[in-house]
Amino acid sequence: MSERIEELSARLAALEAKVAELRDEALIRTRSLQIVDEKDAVRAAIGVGGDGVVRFVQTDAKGAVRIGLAVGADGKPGLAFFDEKKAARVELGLSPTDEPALSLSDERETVRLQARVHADGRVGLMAFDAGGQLRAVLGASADGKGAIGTFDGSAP
Amino acid sequence: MTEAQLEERIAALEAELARLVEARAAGRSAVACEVVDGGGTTRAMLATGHDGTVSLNLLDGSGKLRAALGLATSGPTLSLFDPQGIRRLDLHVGGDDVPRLLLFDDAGGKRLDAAVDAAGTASLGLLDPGGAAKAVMLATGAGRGVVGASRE
Repeated sequence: MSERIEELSARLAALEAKVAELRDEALIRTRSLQIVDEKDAVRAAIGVGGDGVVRFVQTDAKGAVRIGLAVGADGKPGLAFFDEKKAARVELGLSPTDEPALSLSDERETVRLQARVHADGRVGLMAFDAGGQLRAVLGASADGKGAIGTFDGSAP
Repeated sequence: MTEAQLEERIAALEAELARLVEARAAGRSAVACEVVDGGGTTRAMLATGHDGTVSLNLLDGSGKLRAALGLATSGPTLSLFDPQGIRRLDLHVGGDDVPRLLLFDDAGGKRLDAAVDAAGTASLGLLDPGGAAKAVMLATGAGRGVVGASRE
C-alpha cells in the first residue's frame, strides 16, 4: 500500500468515526418524510419533487392539500391555504421580482385583496372586484406620500 | 479503494461533517431531519432545539434559507427571505400575544405592518423607506374606524 493510500485510509477512518458520532445525535437524512394518521393516510409530508420544488404540505382527512409551504425551483418561497375545492385562497409569498405580498382570493382564485411591497418602492393595500379590476387602494409611494383611492372599474 | 475513491469519499464525509457541526452549533441537533434532493443538497430541515424550539426551514437549490416556520420561545413565526438573505415577509404571534404581518423592502426596511394589539385595535400601516407611517387604516376595540394618508 502506498504511503498516500495509507494516509487517506487513516483520514477516512477518523472521519467516519466522527460523522457516525454526530449522526447518532439523532439526525436523519432522507429524500422525503411522510406523517400518517391512524388510518395510514398521509396527513403531512416534506419532500423535493421532480420539478425541483421543496414542499411541506398538510392534507385534510379527504387527502386534499390544505396548507402548502414551498420553495420553488426558481427559489421563490410561499405559503398557501387551499379550500376544499383545492383553490388557493390565501397566499403569502415573494413574486418573481421578489416583491413580498399577501393575497386573498375568491373561490375562482381571483385575487380580491392584496397587500404588496413593490420593487419600485411603493407599498399598498389593493381591493379588486370579481373581474380582477382594481377598485380601491390605500398606498404609500416610494417618495413617502400616502394615498387613498377608489375606482369605478372602467379602467382597462 | 483507489486513491480517487478515497478522496471522493473523504470529500463527501467532510461535507456531511460540516453540516452536522453547523446543525449542532445552531442548536438543531436535539432531533433533526434533513430532506435532500436527488443531488444530495439539503432542501429542508425539521428540527427541535435544546431550548424547546421547533423549526422547519426550506432552502433553495443553492442551499440558501428561503422560508422558515418555527415555534420559538417568543411564539410562532413564518419568515420568507429573498436570494440575498434579507427577510421580506414575517408573520408571527409575539411574546405579547399580538398577531402581526410585516412586509419588508429589498433593503430590509419595514414597509407594511398589520396587527391586532392587546387593546383590540386592528391596524394596517404603510410606511415609507425611513419607517414613517404614510397611510393607515384602523378599527379600534371600541368600534371606531379610521382611514388616513399623509401628503408629506
